[in-house]
Amino acid sequence: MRKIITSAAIAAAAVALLGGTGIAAASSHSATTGTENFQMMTTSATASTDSVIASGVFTAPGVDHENNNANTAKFVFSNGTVSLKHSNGTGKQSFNPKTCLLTINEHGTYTLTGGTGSYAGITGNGKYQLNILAIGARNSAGKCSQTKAPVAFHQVINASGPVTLP
Amino acid sequence: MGGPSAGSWAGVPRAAAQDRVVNFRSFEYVRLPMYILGIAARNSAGKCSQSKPPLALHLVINGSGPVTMP
Repeated sequence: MRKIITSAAIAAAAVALLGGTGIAAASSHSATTGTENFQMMTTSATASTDSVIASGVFTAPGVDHENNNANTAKFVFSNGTVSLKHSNGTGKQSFNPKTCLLTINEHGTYTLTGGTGSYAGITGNGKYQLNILAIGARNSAGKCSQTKAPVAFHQVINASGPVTLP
Repeated sequence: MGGPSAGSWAGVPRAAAQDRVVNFRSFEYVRLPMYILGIAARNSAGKCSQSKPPLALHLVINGSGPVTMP
């Protein structure tokens, strides 16, 4: 169960880290170089997208689309996209086989690989912190299931680092 | 532990994090750290609106305290 949930969680996390749908345009382009923060959040362990909020050099809400197989992601904003590649997360994971509670706290790095629209030519890199709190489902025998999707899933990823917009 | 709805967006502090005091039915006060990150919508004049629902809102509340199971 742990392995399965963990895989699902990491997959969702990766999706969160990399994807994004356009909700609004960047609100500020006053600076071309500076620190950019991305926060991704989801309550689904199986969804392929989640919400992302970018702030710093530019501020925009978006949707995060993750390609778990390639460790890549794309943030889709209303006025362009930002693509990145990230490392696998490393850190602590714990799973309680009695309560089915899963906790994952991992960190890693990412590199922006390109952008489109208002973000064409963007470059940058940074570090991310992944935090997952989930409760695994139980099977018919009352044991924590290793195949069912978690009954509750909270995931927050905070990524931050320098970016340059040409 | 309800967070700010779209209707209460105007009351959300600009700070990304704050402490919120919640009154439970037992009248005990428990301190709940609440973390908010959001992007407000803009009005027709291009100003950040405090009356429109935010374009994005990430809210995390972590609650902790003693309980008694009967």
